[in-house]
Amino acid sequence: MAEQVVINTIEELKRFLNKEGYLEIVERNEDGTIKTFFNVFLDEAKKSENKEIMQEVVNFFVENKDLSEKSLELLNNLFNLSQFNLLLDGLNLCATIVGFAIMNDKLDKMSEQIAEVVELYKEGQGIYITYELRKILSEHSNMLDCRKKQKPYTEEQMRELVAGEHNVLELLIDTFLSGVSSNRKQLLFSILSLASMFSASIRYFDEIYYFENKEALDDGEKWYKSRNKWWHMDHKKWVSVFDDRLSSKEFINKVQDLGLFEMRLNTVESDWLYIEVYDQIRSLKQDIEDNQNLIIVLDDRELVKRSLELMKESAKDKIESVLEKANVPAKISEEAMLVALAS
Amino acid sequence: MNYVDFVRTTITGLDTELFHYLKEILLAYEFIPLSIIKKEEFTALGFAEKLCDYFEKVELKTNRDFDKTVEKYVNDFDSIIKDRIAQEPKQRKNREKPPTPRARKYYEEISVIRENSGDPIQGLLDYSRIVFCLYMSIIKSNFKKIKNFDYALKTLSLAEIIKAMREETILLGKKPKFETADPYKSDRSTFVITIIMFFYMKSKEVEGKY
Repeated sequence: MAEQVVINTIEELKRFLNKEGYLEIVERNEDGTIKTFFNVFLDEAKKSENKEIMQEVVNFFVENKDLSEKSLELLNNLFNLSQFNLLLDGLNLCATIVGFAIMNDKLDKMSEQIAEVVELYKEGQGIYITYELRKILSEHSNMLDCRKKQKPYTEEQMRELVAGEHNVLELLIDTFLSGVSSNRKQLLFSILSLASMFSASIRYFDEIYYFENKEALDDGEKWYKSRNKWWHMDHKKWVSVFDDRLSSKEFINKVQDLGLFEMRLNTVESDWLYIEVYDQIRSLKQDIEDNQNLIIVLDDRELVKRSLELMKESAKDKIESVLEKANVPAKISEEAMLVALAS
Repeated sequence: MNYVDFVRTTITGLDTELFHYLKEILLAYEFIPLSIIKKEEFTALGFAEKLCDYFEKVELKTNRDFDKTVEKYVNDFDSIIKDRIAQEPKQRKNREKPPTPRARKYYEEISVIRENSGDPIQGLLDYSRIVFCLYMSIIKSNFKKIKNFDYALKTLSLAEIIKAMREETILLGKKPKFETADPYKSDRSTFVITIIMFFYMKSKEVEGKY
C-alpha cells in the first residue's frame, strides 16, 4: 500500500515536485487502471521556471540588438500575446528589449520625460533637447534600416549618432539621479533602452571606424600593446558612461530606492530589480569590448560580418529551444522567430 | 504569526548547505541547548521540530506569545540602531529643505514597509533585511552615526552582526544589553530569530554581478 502523507501547506508539497518542477498526479478508474495524468505546477515553481525561460528570451533579444522597425512591430505583437505576457509576469524587469520597443513606439511618454528634463535645463536649451532626442530616436531607426538594406551609412553620420545618444543618455541619468522626475520607473526603462541603443551604435561605429582608418592608425606596434589606438578619441569617454555613471553606487542606490519606495516592491523583488539593471549595464559594456576584440582579431570586414551572422544563427537555435521549452504555441513561436531573423 | 508557521516557512525551504550552516551556528553559539541528540543526527524536519519546541518553551517561560517575541526582536534592533542614524538636517530660513539622509529615509520607512507587506513573514524579512544592512554599515563605521548605507545582501556578515550585538551595552557600558545566560529568555530568542532570518534571507538571494 502506498505511503499516506498529510499536507498542510504548499511548502510541504514542494518535496514531491519532479525534476521539471511539477507534481505528477494520476487519476485512476474504479478498476484501478489509469484514467488521466495531470502535471500540476505550483504557482511559485512555475513562476521561477518562467522567469528563467523569459530571462533567456530577453537575453537573446538583448544580444540581438540590431532590430529593425519591422521587427519591433513584430516584437510588440509578440509581447501583446497572452502567453508571453504570462511569462513576462514572472520578471520584474525585462529591461532592454521591452524598453527599446517602448522607446520607439511610445514617443509620447518619452516626451513627458523630456519635458521634465527641459524643466531642469530651462536656460534656453529645452527646445533643443526635445528636438535632439526625437532626432536621435529617428536617426537610430534610420541607421538600423540602412544596415538592414546594406545602404551606406557614413563614419561621420555614425559618430554624430553616437555623440548625440551619449549626450541625451547623460541628461536622462542626471534627471534620474536628481530625483525630480515624477515617473522614475519609466525613466529607468528609457535609460536602459537608450543605453542599449548606445551600446549598439558604438559597436557599429567601431566597426566602421576601424576598417575605414586602420592603415592610418597602424603605428607598427603589436595590436595588443596599444589597443586604444584603433578607436576614436572619444571612445573612452563614451564607454565611461557604463562604468562611472550607470554602474556607480549612486545610480544603483537610486534604483534600490525606486524599487522600495516608489514601486513598493518587497526586498526580494527589489533585489531582482537592481541586480538585473546592474547586470544588463555590465553586459552592454562587455558587448562593446567583445566586439572590439572580434574586429581586431579577425581584422577583416567580411569575416566580422560572417562571424556575427554565425552568432545570430546559434542564437536562433537557442531561442527555438527556449520557445519549445516554454511550450509556446507554434503560431507565437513563428512570430518570435520572425523577430529573431528580421535583423 | 505563530512559531509553527514561522519555522515552517523559514527553515523547511532552506537548501542543504544553508540548513547545515544555520544548524552549526545556532548550536555552536549554544543558542539552542541540546540534551541527548547530537547535532549531526538532525534532519531538517527534526531540527525544525526542535526549534518549535524551543519557541514553545520561550512562550511558557516569558509568558508571552510568539508575536510578542517577534516584537521584542524588532524593538531590540530598533534600540541598537536608532541613535546611530543621522537625523534629518534642519531647514534654514529662506533656504531649500536639505535632503533627508538615505539611511534615515530607510529607517523611517521600515515600519511602513513591514506593514504594507500583506504577509507577516515577508514583512519580517523586509524589516530584517533593512535593519541588518543599517546595522552592518554602523559596525563598519565604528558605531558612528551613518548617513548612507549599503543595501546589498552580499555585504552582510552574520558573524560580525552577532559579535557586535553581544558587545552592545547599556547603563554607560556597565551592563550587557543582551542577557544570554538563560536560553529561554527573550534576549536569547532575539539572537535565534536573527540567525534564522539571516539564512532565510540568504535562501532568497538573487544571483548577479553586483
